[in-house]
Amino acid sequence: MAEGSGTADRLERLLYVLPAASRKQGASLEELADALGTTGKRIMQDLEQVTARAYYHPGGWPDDVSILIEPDRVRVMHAAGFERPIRLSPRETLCLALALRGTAAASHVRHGARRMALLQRAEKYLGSSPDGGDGAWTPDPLHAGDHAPDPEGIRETLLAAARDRHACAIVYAKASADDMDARVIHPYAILHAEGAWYVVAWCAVKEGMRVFRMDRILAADETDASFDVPADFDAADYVSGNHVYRAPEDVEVRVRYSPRIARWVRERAEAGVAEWEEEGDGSLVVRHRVADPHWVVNHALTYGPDAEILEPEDLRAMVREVVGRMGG
Amino acid sequence: MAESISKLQRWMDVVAFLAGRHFPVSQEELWEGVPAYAAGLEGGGKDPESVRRMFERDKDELRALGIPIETVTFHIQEGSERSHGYRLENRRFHLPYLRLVRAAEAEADDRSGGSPPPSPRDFVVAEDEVAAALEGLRDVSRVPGFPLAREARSAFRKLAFDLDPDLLGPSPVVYVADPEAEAAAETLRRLSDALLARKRATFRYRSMERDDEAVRTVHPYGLLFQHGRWYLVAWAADRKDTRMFRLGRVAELSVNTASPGTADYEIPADFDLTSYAGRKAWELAGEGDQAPAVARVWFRFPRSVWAERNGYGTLAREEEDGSQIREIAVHRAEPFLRWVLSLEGDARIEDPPELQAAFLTMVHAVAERYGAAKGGPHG
Repeated sequence: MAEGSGTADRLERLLYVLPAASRKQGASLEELADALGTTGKRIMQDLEQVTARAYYHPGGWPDDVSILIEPDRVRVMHAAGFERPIRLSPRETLCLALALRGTAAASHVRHGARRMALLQRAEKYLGSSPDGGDGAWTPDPLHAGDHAPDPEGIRETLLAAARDRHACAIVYAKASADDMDARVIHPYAILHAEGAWYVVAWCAVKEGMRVFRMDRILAADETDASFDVPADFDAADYVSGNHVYRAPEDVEVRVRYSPRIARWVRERAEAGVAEWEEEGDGSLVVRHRVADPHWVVNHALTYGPDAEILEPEDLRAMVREVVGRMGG
Repeated sequence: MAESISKLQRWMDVVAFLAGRHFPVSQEELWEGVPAYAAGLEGGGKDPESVRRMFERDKDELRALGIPIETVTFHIQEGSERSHGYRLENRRFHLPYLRLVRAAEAEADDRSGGSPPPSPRDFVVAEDEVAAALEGLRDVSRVPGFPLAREARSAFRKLAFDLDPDLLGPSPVVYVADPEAEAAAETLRRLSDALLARKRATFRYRSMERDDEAVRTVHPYGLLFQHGRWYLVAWAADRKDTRMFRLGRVAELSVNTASPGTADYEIPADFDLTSYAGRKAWELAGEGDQAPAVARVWFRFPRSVWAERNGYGTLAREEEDGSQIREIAVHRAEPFLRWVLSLEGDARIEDPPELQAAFLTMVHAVAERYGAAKGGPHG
């Protein structure tokens, strides 16, 4: 890791610090530490380690450089071969490919094509491999996007609106709703949790904060109206454990999972924050605290007859009503 | 003593010595010019062979760190003798300067087939594109458990080197920490090393479908993050076919360490990892590998629009009220039926009759759990 203390880590840091500090005004230790995910002290140690030599050794590279160390700044007057960062390593090029492919896949077609063109040029001119890629990276070995198909570019529109702080007109369909809602929202943050994307936004219609599931946003248009994110907004307030969740009041729900799936549910429960207990027949009872009772109804149904909401009774009634409609 | 020159100093000396020269240098020149090698030969009591081995190791490690030291053959004595030497070409070593242009200008370039950089030291790029690349890099480095997070961060640093730090505002994207992805981070890192070096891997795997545990030997083809979890797509020796493995269920991983520089296998040219991305549980080929059934599913409006927006099947028919019949390929019935159930009546299986009947059986089983009075099939 660039953050670590091995020789490779130190070299990697120096190959960034030297060119950054050889710019006209040098570089502040704070900026360097921030970019490298390390501390100013460690950067100083790296510089000391590479420049300090016993007098009886023939001079090497340090004989050709001048490094000025000020209390909070480093300046390199002549970096002797280290004036620029080095090109992207094959793994860094792979990351760039992932980044561009990820945004291209979630983009409008026009942007997607431009990004793939940029990727081709970047592999050739920014990468360190002889012919702009040694072939080891094709076919792509990694895929980190976790994006559903989005031919309309809804995700990108919401991201751009959140980034530019522009209000967004959306069409939203709640689960089991009879119609779609048109709303104007101020997207403050885009959250990914448990494989789903959410938009945390101020809703102009409801005049309050709301969390929208991105898959239920059926259309989105960025407007020109700008907004400010309140200083006290913190996306972490909308997360509990690994769930996206927020409510002034929550409900405790007990769900029993059959012995057949108990082991797999326990894996999740152990990893998460839920409390659980095992029953004599091998089934598992988990206590969930939920803001939206409807979430539990949906959650239980995804397990079919292998999950049963034990309480509260009104949620059991909700399930009865749903399965009744389906012919149960 | 040569030992008192640290490895870091030695590496810096090698890189600086090579980077400062336009022509290849011979092994002898390099040994004289790099203090640690010179000191080893003169007073350090090392024989040329041990210095050669030290240099070979340094060269390999530096190359692995992305420093493109080339071995070249050149002619000496007016062409009568051939000799080996080393070279670190500036244009392949140093990052070109990023020169930003407006989007329209770059698009005009793209339309004309993409002009090469005006000089090897410049890389012309549209401002919005480089911002998208940086944002993408920042994004992937934050994906829970992402095995190349460090490389994504260093690529970000390099790409942002010439840019105004204000080009990119704070990211609005937050990845909520996922316990399973974090627990699998070490497995993921080792598997990604195996994958990039094409090395065989063996692990114990708990299969949910068959509810058993078995030792599997695989050729990793790709790693995939979806539905909030990491999956390995690999050729499984026991099935003689490609399979997906959820990393949270992989234990006791070992990677073949024999012949580290040699690939154990090739990834077939027609393998396409993206074709595995976004697959639903019912789209995964099961152990039995039966041909998929095509289910015709009716979706009530506005759920129909949701199904369309999220790529559930293909449209077969749309009614005036906005409802749709969509066709969905089903490899594994159970997860499919449970998914339809979770749509709470917004969807109904129209065909084939076997899936319809299996769905009703599932609905009745759920109703029984909740003590609902059994009714006739839904009209």
